[in-house]
Amino acid sequence: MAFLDRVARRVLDRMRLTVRPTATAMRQGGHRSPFKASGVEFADHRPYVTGDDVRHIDWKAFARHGQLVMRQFEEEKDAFIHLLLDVTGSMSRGEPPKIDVARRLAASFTYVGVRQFDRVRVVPFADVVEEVPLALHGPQDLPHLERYLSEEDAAGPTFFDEAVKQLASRGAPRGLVVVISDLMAPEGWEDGFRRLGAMGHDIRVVRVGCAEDLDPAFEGELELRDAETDERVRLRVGKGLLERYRVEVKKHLEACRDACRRAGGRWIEVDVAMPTDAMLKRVFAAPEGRSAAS
Amino acid sequence: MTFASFGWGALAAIAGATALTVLGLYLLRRTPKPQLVSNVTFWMRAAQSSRPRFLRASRIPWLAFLVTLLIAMLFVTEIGDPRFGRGVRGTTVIVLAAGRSMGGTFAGERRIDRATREVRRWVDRTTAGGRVAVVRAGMRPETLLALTDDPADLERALAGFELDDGPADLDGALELADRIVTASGDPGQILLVADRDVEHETQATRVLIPVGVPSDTLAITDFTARRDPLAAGEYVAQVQLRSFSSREGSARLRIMDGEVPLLDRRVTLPAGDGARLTAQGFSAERAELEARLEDIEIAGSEDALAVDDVAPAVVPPLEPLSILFVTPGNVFLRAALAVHPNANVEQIAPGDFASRDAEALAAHDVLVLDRTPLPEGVDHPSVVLFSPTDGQLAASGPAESPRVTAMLGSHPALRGVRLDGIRIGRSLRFATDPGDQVLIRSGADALAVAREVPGRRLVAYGLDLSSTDLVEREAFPLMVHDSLHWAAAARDELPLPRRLGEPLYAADQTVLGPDGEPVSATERAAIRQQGIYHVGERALAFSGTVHARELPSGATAGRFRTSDPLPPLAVLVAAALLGLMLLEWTLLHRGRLE
Repeated sequence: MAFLDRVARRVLDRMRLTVRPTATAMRQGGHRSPFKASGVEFADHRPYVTGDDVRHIDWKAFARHGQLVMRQFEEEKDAFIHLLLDVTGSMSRGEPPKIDVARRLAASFTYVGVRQFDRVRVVPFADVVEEVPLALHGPQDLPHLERYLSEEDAAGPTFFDEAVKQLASRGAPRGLVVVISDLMAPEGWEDGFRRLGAMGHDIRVVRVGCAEDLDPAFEGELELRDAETDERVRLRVGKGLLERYRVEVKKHLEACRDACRRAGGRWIEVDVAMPTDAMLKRVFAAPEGRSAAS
Repeated sequence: MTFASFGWGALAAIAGATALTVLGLYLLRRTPKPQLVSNVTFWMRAAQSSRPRFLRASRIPWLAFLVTLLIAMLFVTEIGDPRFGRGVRGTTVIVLAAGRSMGGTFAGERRIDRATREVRRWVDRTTAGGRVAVVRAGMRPETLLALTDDPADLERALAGFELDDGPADLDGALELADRIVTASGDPGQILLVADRDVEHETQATRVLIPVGVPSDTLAITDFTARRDPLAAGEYVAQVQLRSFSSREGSARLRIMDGEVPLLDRRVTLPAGDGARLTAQGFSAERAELEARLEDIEIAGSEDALAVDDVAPAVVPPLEPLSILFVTPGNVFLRAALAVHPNANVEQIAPGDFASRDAEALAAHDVLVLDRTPLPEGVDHPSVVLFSPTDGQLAASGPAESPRVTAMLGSHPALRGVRLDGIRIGRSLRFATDPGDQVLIRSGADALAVAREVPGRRLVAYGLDLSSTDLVEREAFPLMVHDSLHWAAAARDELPLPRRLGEPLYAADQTVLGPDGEPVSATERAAIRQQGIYHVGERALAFSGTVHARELPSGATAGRFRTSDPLPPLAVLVAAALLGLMLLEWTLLHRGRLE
C-alpha cells in the first residue's frame, strides 16, 4: 500500500483495535461482547436451572460442592468501524498536509480492522458525507481503499453535525466511530459527538494538528483567506493577536475534547510533524488498564 | 502674501502634496500580504476579544491616520520647524554682518554670500504670519529693510548688499535690532548672521548663525606716505605687512603711484610674523599711492581676504608757505625752518616786529616768534611761539631742569616725534586755559601748549632751545615741521580724516570716490570704502589698514550651528515621525478587523 509502507505495516501488525463491548456487532469476531455465551473465555458460574444445556454443567464443581452450577463464557463478536475522514479545505494546510496524514491514519485503522475481521467503512465528510461509503470486509479489499482515498481531495467547509445526522439517517450500525479531523471548525463538534454517543457508538477522535493551527509564525498586515470558505479578512497580526488566537484555538479544542469524553469517546492528538511509528503507537495505544499490543 | 517664500497657494499645494504623500505611505504601509489559514473564524474571535475598549476598532486606523495628517499639516504650516514657540515665528530681525571680514572666501564662496543664503533659508522657514526686518551691521548699523511680510522686499534688499571695508559694529546692530523687536509689539527673535559673536544682552531671543571657517590671510596693516622732513620735496612711503596664518606665506608687494611703480618686491612672511618696508627718495609735487599684495602664496592654503591686500595713501602737494621768523638769533630753529619744504622764510629781529601792522602780518602764512611776545590784539591765525615770556599764551613761570613725563603724541603737532631721554636745562611753564591741549608735560607743569580757537591755531613751546639737546636730534625739525603744518592748517576748511568710518567734510564741493563716481552727502557722513577720494584738487586717502587683523573663525567647518539648545530640526522631525509610527503601531498592531 502506498499509504502504509512496510515499516508501518510491521508496527500495525502488533496493534489491536479494541472496541467497547456494547458497541460490537453480531457476528463472531475478536471483540468481547456484553453477552455470556459459548465462547472460549471463561467468565463466571451460575446456578443450573431447568432447560440449561447440560454440556455446560461444571461437573468438577458439582463433585466438590454437590451443587449444579453452569460455566459461562464471554461471547466474542466482530465490530463495525466507521472511519469519518475529514476532507474539508482546512485539511490541506500543514507541512506535510494534514489530509495526507489523515489518509495514512485511515489506512492504518482499516488495515488493523480488517486484519481482526471487523467490518470497516470509510466515510469521508465535509459539509455532507459521501453518498457511497467504502465498505471493507477483509484484507482483499485494501487495494480499493487506496484508490478510494487517493480520489478524495481536501475541499469544502466543515459541517460535522450535519455529517453525523446523515450517517445516522442511513442506519449506520453501532460500532467504533473513528473521527479523523483537524477540528478546525468552530461549531458542530459537540453536537456531533453527543449524537454519536447517543447512538451507542464507541467514539475515538484523532485530531490531526499542525504548527500553523496552534502556533502560527506569520505577523504583520495580512489578508487572511479561509482555506474552506475562501472568506477573506484583513488583520494586523501582532504578538497580542497571536496570543489571543492561541487561546481561542486552545479553548475550542478543549471544548471538543470535553464533548468527546462526555460522549464516552477517547481523544487522541497527533501532529503532522510526528514520525509515523510514533504517531501510530499513540493512536493505537490501549486506554489505561488495557494493552493494545497483541 | 506671506513673508515666507511660499504664498498661500504654494502652501496649499505643499499641504496637499504632503497629505497625498502621507496617504500614500499610509496605504502602502497598510497593504496586506495574503495568507491562507485553516479557518478565519478563530482569528476573528481573537481580534474581537483583543479590541481596545475605549475606541471602536474600525475607527482607530482612520483616527491614527488623521493624527498623522494633522501633524504633517502643522509641519507645513510651520514651514518645517516643529519647535513651536522656539522657531521662526512672529517678528524676526536679521542682523547681517557687513564688515570687511565678511568678504573672506572659502572654496570660492564669500562669507557674505553664505550669509545671505542662510538668511534666505531662514526666511523660507518663517511662519506664514511672520515679519522680517534686516539690520545691516556695517561700520555704522542701519536698518536695511523695515519690517515687512513681502519676500520681494528682502530680495531687493539683499540684491544690492555691499560690505564695508571697516569692521562691523555688531553691538550697535544688535541694540538696534532689539529696539525694532520691542517696538514691533510681537513676539520675535534676533537672527545674527555673522562670522563672530559678541557678548551683548538683548531682550529678544537671539539666534546666531555663524558663517566662515578659520582662514589665512596676508594683510597690509599700515601704509603711510609723508614728506621727508630731512629732504625737502621728497616723500617716504612705508608699508607694514603681517601674516595672519599659521603657515609661511609670500606675496609680491607693489607700491604704485598711478601707473608708476615705486616698489616691486617679493616678500616672505613666516607664520604669524610681520615685516616693514620703506621706499623713499621719490620727488613729486603730489602723489596718490596704492600698495597692493599680489600673487599671494600660503603653504597649503590661500589668501582668504582681498580687502586687506590693498591700501591707499596720499602725498599732499607742496604748497608755498610764507613764514615770518622773529628771533634774536637761533641757528637751530632757522635750520629747522629751512628744511621745511617749499617754505619762504623772512627773518626779522624782535624790534622790527612791532612795526609790522596787521595787514603786513596777514601776508605771511605762519608767524614763528622766538623769545618774542605776541602782543595782545594781534589775531594772526597761525602762530608758533618759542619761550614766550609775555603777550598772548605767555608763560606763567620758569621750570628748572624739567623732565618730560608725558607728551600728546596723537596731536598732529607732534606726529611722529619722540622725546624719549631728551635733556632740558631750562624751560617755561604755561598756565592753560580751558580748551588748551598740553603737548609736553613735566609733572604738573605744561611745557608746551596748543590752543585752537575758531579761525586761529597757536602752538607755544616753553623749552629753552639753548639749554636742551632736543635741537641736536632728528625729532626737532620734525616737531617744527609738524607744528608749522598744524598751525598753518588753521586756514584749511578741509581737515584730513583718514580712518574709515570718519566723515568727509566737503562743504559744497563735489567729492569723487575711488571709482571716480560722485559720493553722496549721506555716504560722506561715514566713509566705508577705502581708497582715494578727491575733493576738488585735494586728494584724501581713507585706509582700512588699521582694521587689519586675523579673520574670525566663524563656525567650525562652516556647518550650520545656532545657540538654540534644541536639537537640529532633522532630528526632531525624525523623532516626531518615529513617535507617530510607534503610536500607530501601539494602537493597531494589537490586531483587529478593518
